[in-house]
Amino acid sequence: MKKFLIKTALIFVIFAILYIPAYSILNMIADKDSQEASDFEYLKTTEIKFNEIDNYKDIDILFVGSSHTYRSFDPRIFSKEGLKVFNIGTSSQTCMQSWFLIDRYIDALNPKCVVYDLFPDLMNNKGEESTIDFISSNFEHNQAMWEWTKLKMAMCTKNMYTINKWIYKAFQRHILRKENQIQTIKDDELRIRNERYIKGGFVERDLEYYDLSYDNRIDTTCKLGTMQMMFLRKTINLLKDKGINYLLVETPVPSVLYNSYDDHDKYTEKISEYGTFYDYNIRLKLNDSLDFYDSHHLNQNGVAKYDSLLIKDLYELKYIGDYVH
Amino acid sequence: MLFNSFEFAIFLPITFILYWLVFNRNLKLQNAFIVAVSYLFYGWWDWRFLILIAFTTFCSYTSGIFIDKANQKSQNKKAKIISATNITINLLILGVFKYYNFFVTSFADAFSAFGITLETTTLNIILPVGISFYTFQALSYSIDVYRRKIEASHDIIAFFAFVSFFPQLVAGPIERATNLLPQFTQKRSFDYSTAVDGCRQILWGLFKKIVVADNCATTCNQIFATYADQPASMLMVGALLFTFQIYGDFSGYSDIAIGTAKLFGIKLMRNFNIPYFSRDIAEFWRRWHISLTTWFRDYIYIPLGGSRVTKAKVVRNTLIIFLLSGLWHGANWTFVIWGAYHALLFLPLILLGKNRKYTHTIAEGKHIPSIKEFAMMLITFLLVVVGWIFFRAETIGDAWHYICGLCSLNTFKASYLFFTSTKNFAGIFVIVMLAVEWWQRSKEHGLGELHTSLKRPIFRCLLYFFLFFSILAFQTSDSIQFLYFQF
Repeated sequence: MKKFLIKTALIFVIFAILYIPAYSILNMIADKDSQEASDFEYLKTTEIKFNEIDNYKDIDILFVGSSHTYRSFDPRIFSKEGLKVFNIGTSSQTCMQSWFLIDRYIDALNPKCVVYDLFPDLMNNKGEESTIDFISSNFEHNQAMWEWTKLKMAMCTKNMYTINKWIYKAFQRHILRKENQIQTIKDDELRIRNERYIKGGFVERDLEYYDLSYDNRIDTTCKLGTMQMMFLRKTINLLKDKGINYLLVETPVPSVLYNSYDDHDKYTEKISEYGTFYDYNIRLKLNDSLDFYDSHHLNQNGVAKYDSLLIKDLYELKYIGDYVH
Repeated sequence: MLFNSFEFAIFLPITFILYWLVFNRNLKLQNAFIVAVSYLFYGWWDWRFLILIAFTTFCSYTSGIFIDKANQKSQNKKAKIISATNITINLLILGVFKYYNFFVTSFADAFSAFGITLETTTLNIILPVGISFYTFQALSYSIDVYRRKIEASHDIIAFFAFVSFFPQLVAGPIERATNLLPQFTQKRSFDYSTAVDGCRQILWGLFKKIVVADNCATTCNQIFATYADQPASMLMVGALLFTFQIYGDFSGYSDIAIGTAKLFGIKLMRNFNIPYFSRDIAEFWRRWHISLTTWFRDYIYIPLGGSRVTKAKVVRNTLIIFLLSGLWHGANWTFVIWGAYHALLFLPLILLGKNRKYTHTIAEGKHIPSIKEFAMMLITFLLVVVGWIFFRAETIGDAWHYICGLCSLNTFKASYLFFTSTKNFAGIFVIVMLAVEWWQRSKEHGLGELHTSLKRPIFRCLLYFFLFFSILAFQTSDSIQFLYFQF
């Protein structure tokens, strides 16, 4: 029995150690014509954002969530009201990633209030897409800590595909010391194609209107995954422990998408158990064509309306102090 | 809990260590531990259905005792009634959870064909994972007790362990009480070589599931989803990929189950024996899902008279078991047609008395088959592939259109899927799987008794590392559930 256990464990450890370079080398060979360079034709929002974040502290509002978040809360609108904000929303960010990010930055940013956007489609997501987004991003500072955070995220997805991505990228970065071109922002904005990264974590799309004729969504349900709910609970507990105000929100989406959820009422009821929850699909009446640019995201017209109402709500809730103007 | 999940990778070593190091002193305690971890394993998916397993197990356990008592007093009628009651209860549960909606809608459809519209109510029922497997296992026990093939178990813990033993609980092999139950009543001791063989079998099963089946599934699913737009060449690729997907998936699961059981000192029956190297359909059915095929043979076909009756009755018996086998796989007419298709292929062989022509290992003692053997294997294989189209399609109409598409003229028209799937190594993995299984065809599994085939340890190590590497490196982005869970 002992012999079996020791031998099996030993073989497993040796294979696991050999696996890392073998996998990375195989990937490098297969990826010879990799698209790394052309990645820079795209706006690497996550990379820019977390290379910029260290410049911020003692902010008024911290925005957390998915692309609905980083495409909805415009720091320029908040700044007009004298509010200093930062948006850590990233593509398909789930409660799991939000937890790691909040846990890491909450003390440094020291926000008066956290606006936590919860998108129903991501509440039962394992978070692979967002984790791969982080893994493929290169950060200037605290690289070891970032690597550890990325690994923790990858492990939480329980998906070998995601873990493999981490192995490959970590091997490139730390063993081969491959120099990565890191996308950062020096001026107030960085423009690539039809999108502009605005300092503070917002991404603005050139004004476009949503063509409804392309959308034929099938009715679905709002599923609350055990893992995501566990991370949401942890995050809320952390914010409560630190005495930070938080508002759970659901960013407006086109009615075609919103109405496709059969059981949204139940979802609202469940989420409300975790704190004040404002569903802006109900609080704010927007026009599907005029206020959105695609089936998920607000255009700048919609952003302006949404942000104005949110500021009003936050003052009413007294989460960011009293309104002084 | 899935065998190819992180949870299982943690669950298995912990369970194994506790089983041998903590609970090995007392057999009852060890069996109770097996029941507990098996319920945890199943409850990980949905704990509510544990009640259903417990109920099925309890019914079979108590009915076994009463049948045995009646048998001892020669009260045959009483024994028959108890056995029939237990069978009815189990089949009712299976019927409600698996077939209720199917029969209701089929009934309504049949009436609507005559212009009569029936108001029907379907239920929103979740199909409990593995219900067909554990129900059949429990049924076989009470039938065997009734037939006096086995004495009723009076050890409730051992009996619960027999029905719920986690490696084979959700997707078989469907064990017989005569084989498995006595193993829970005897003291088990750790055997090094059995455990090592179990690990090898798990490794091979994981390779077949994660590397072969899941990689085949990625492209196969796309082809079946868009079959109307695909040229015949891609439809052929889709059908072939599904053929290997279902084999890799199901036989992979069986290998993992049997290998895991070996780690716990339990020997389960073989479920697959290189079925795609069969020379005719009869041989295929002796090698595919052996535990289900033999179940139908022993509990339905033989009681109906088997093949020792008039030819008309042989036809009837054969049709019954194939149609039931089809229906067992799922509540859909596509499965029934799949069963009927195989019955039609099987009938000529049994009527001509040629159904047991090939019982020995193919090309025994040779490296490659003869041209005749190869041709027979190829024909059988292609016939099986056509059957899988019915099995995989959503509706009979879809299957028919798929087959029509296969026979269309645009055979070699290029398809976007062909270009988008260049990074899919499914074809290479299928070749590796077939090569290893051919090479090891006289062994219990793909890596069985490897030291006799690969004498140098370094080559064995390299093969193990290749499999280990492939399992980790070539996982698809979405973890795909085992196909047979739905049955």
